[in-house]
Amino acid sequence: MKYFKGVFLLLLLVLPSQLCAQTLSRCEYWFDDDFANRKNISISGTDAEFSRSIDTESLDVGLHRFNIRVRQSDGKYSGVSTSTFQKVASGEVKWLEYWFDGDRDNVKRMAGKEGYDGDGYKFVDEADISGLDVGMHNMFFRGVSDNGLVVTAVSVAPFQKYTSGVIKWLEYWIDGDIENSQKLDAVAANGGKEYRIVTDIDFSTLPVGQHRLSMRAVNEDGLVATAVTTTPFIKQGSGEVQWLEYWIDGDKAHSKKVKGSPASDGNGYTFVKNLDLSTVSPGHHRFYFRSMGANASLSTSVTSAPIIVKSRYDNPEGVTVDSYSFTVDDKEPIERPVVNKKDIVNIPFSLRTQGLSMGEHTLKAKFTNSLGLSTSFEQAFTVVPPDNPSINLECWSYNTYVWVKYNSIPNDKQYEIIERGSDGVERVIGSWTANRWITTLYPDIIENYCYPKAEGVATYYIKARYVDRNGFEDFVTSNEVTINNISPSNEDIYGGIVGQVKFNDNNNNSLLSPHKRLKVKFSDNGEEVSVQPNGTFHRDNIPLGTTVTMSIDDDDYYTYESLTVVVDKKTRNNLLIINATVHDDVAVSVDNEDYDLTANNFTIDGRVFDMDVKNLTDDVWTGIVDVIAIKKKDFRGNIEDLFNSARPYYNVGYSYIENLQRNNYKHITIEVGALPIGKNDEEFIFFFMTQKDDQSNTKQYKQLVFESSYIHNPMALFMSPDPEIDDVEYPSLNDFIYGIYKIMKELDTWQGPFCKAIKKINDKWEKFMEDGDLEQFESFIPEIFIIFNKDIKNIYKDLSKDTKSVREFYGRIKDISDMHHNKPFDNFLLVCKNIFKDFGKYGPLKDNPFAQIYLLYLDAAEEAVNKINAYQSTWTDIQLGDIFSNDNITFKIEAIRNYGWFNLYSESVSGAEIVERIDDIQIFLENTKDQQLVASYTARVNEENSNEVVLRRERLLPSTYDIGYPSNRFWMEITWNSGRVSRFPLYDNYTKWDRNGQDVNAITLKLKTTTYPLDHKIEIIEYYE
Amino acid sequence: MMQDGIIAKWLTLSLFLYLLLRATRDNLSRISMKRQVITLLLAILALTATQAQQISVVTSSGATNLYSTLQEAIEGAAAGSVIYLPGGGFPIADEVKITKKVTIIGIGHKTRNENVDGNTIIGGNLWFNQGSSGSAVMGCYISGNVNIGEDEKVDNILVKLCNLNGIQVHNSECKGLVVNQNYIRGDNNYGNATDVTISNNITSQIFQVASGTIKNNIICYGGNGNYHRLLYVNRSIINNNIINNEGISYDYIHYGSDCQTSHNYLVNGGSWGDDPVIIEGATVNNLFENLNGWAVNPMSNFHFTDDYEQYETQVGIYAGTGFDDKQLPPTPYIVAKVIPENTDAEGKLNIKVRVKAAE
Repeated sequence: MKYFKGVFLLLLLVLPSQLCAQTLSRCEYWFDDDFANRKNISISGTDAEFSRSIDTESLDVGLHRFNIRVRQSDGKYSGVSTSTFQKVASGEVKWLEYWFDGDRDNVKRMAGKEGYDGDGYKFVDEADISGLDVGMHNMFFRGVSDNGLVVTAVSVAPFQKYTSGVIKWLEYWIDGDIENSQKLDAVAANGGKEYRIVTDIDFSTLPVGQHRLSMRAVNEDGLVATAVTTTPFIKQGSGEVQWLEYWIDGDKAHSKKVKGSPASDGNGYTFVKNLDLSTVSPGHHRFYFRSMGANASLSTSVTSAPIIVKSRYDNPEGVTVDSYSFTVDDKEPIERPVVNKKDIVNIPFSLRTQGLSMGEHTLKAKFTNSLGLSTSFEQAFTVVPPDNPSINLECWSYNTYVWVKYNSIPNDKQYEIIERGSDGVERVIGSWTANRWITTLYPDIIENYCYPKAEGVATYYIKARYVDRNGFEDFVTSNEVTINNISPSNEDIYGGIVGQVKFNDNNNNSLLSPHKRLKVKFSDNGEEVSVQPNGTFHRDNIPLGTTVTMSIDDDDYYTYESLTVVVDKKTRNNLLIINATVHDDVAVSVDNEDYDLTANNFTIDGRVFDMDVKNLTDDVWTGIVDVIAIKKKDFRGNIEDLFNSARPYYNVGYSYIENLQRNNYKHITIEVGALPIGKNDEEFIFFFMTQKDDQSNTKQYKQLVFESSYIHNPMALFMSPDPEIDDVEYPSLNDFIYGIYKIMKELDTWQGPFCKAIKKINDKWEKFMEDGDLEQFESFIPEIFIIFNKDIKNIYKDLSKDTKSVREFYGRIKDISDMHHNKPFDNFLLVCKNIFKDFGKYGPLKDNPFAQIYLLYLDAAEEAVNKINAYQSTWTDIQLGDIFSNDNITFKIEAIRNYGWFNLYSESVSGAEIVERIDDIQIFLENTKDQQLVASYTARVNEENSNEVVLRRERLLPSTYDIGYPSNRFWMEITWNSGRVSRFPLYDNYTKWDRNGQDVNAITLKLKTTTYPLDHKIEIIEYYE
Repeated sequence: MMQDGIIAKWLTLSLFLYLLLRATRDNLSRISMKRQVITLLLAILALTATQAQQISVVTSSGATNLYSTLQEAIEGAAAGSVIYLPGGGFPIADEVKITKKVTIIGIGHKTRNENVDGNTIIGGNLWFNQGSSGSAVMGCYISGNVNIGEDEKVDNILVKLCNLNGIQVHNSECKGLVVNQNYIRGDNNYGNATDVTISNNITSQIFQVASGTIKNNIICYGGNGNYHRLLYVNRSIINNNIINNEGISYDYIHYGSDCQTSHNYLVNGGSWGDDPVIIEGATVNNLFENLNGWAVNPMSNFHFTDDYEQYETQVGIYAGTGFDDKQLPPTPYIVAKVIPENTDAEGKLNIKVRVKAAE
């Protein structure tokens, strides 16, 4: 037991403090900056609460700071918490000091009385407001001690001073005519708490119709005692209906009367008469009428009905109504032929008022007969929004979404899709102003989908906000639809593919290093999926039932037969095999008995081989000189094995020779294209082969023979063979330096001083080689390093650091090159790798006096890689941030007003009209970091085209920002004077931004309206560069 | 229509005034006004510390000095000190470099937390330069970046429980950096540092790590102009991370070499690395309590919904050593305080305070 306890205690002692909960040890507090005189309050536990009454005797009256911090058991403190407080003068409050409206010159006091329950002081008195005018005032007051010291802060109480005195009259007037106001006596009631009017108001002189009654109370002094109250009312007609007054069209002046008779059922009056309309011209007219009482007083409002007055004459035989036209107001009429021409035709026509503003309009129609004669008709009408818009909702569940379909309503402002789950909780799961780019037309059908929050059975309805005819906002809700939210698993919707690429039915392909990624192309969506180093690939989220064809088309490999599958639920369970075949795998043979060509003066300038080839044959020679690479490990030592081996070889460049005469030379250049990239320790051997074009369609290679030997190793690519040095195993330093020189020159960096220095070293090296004096080797090492500004004594110290940076840099080159697949620089990478590898042959890097040269070379290469990156970035996908921040981009807006009632009529809206209605324009860019960047624009009419509006950028918000690639969304918002906001994307799959490396200068947005005024509803129909 | 609206010539205030004026039990009249306490939420770029704020700097021997600005505190602190920042905003210019070992502890970066004084905001960038190895910053909202090794290598820096724009390591020889339980809003560049530990963070792209451990993070975006979530991350262990792979192909999850990747989860489907975490039925829409559009801020809630709660301890920020939702540093804090605006009639200041130790 003791032992156990001892172990236990030991464990406690060695446990780090973080594993034990901390406890509080004390609080420290002090006033202002007097930390030195801080006081402690002991506390304990992990959660402590305490109250203290702290003495402030040492403080002056006035504002102070109270500071407190907490310490816990491990010695850590909290931050200092500071609060300000006022040390006030102590003493009894004896007086209430007050004044009105800031008038400190007239401060008054009232004395306090003993408080109730003996607790404090109470001030109950009447404040003197006699000097104040009737109306709103503020009373300021504070407590003052007996010795005159202020002991409280100032408080403010607003109040209204009313007129005093007894109410005497009710003053009233009609329809704002206050000058002709009347007074009625007010009689006190309810003990003087109320006043009543007992006299009727005479409205006899008022016409029938709507009126406003305004009234207020007046006291005996004639002063107004209450605010004005206004009440609308309608005066109705009175008396029996006896007459019908009527007139045609607008001719009220020639109205006539018809006397009626009581209805047979005793309920009202009927008017039956053949009216004489002989003076009315044939055609469409409107019949107006109203009823009147016996004393000709009006008793109903005016009603009208359309009538057609027939001609008194019979139609001429054979004459038909041939065509008609309609228009509204002064718009261009649209002619329509009559389909079934007859003497009397019935042409039903519904005029859709969506293209018309609210208010008065005139419908104009004209009918033309087969004789070419026409008659016109006009009818005034008023477009008003419907009082009670309604929404009909259809709703269903599909593919885990809730789909809704409903009609729009006029003067709409917002639609919300509301879900009520089985728990009864209602949620807004969609809102068309918030979530959608589209804007609605009226009438229109809106269809969209939302993510349901409720599972299982849920009820959905639409709630729409709109503006009624009186300009007030109101709501309307649709019918409710209850559906069952089905949440199918993804397995019911999507399948996947898992496959493996084999090469000539062989799993192994050493080409598939991590840096060489084949891609499998899918036919359904064009997606390219990378193949892993082990040859496998996969793709998910393919809709079930999709037919997919997979193929590979690579520089080195292709699928001879594509693989096609129909994706079902089980597809992903089977490993699909795709066979890739090497290009150019036609069997070849080599005939080395005779050499067709020989080469001389072979030089390498970067990626280009230069040589003079000579025709050794008796015939004119036409064909190609081919440069072929093969992995060293695949090479068995003789040329035949190059082609007999099943392993791949690579054609990396060629030159076509035509009609080379016997014994003649021809200078050719071969540019090395894509070099094979193997594993890090892979070596390649390059062969120069000739293939004569003998029309045989067989590849017959012969070796290109060099009159001077050259080095069969990768360095040979970049070496200038030196006939004086026949070092087959290792490249000479001279070769190496020369090779670097060539590459440096090509990279166009360090050309001046570096190349000069290299040349100088080269000269010295040659001299060294001539003299064979190894001791001279050291003589120019200092010079080398002086050239490069290096102290030889520090070279070894720097080398170790440089070695690491070399490796790091090498890794970076590798990464960047692989990522960007910059073919022009593939060989460059090969150079880096091989140089680094070959330098290893000389022992550790630090022993090589030319390490600095190598490093400088890599520095230059790094600069070249930076050029790659800059090059790459120029040609990457359009970065919205560039567009967003580009001052040169001009936005233009054109608007076309369409009239929906004909669907054919449209007119351009002037730029001035557009500008007049625009309140604000902003362009938003939202990047992947959820930052929203805003550029504000102002609009003006385009001087070159008055139907266009151009936007000028005012500012970017925030003023400094990180665009953050890639960008998620890019859109414009136009806020119209009416408060409506039009929102539309500026960059999506349908955009026509096409930079082609050049800046976009302008983008034109075309807006289409279907409802007047212009800013009511906007729809983008197209936008273009 | 008529009301008893005739107001007497002399205004009667008795009821109104009685409500305002009260006396103490000891029969001494005093006024206590009831006022609305307004908590001022500092804007993200609040750059002006009020004069009332006091920064306490505690040396390794326990001595305390007070400063009113962060720059003064950094410059005045002895090596090995702890700088306790109270609630409020503390601007710092880029010319201010930390060249000694210090620990900067705020009261937390969340605007809504248990601390009565709100949160600590550092307006600007922090620079841990030569000499500051072993320094730490905890519990702060940093509007800018935490920079490490601008001049020479700086080792063993700890950034914890902060909300910051990004980590920028300027020297590849830096090692031992620990980044834990942070909200990292912007671009990072770990500068090819070695022995880096990045764990239980909500972060954007992890860029340029020569070696280290990257685990239990939620990686929301690419960065540095690239789509890659892990770019140039080499020779590292990459485990138990949740990766937002929306809109990117497989190639853009990780670019680097010689890494051991296992038990990671791709939110938008697919699998990556060895033994990937598979959460059946989970989608980006139903996995998290409040994805909030992948916003890297405390308004997002990356707890798993009830259906997938059992996976929460396997992958992401709540697995491994976990993620403290309160984001409070390991220091005591003041939960509530009542400090009256005035002393009482006896000249006493009657306070009431509640404090808690670090959990």
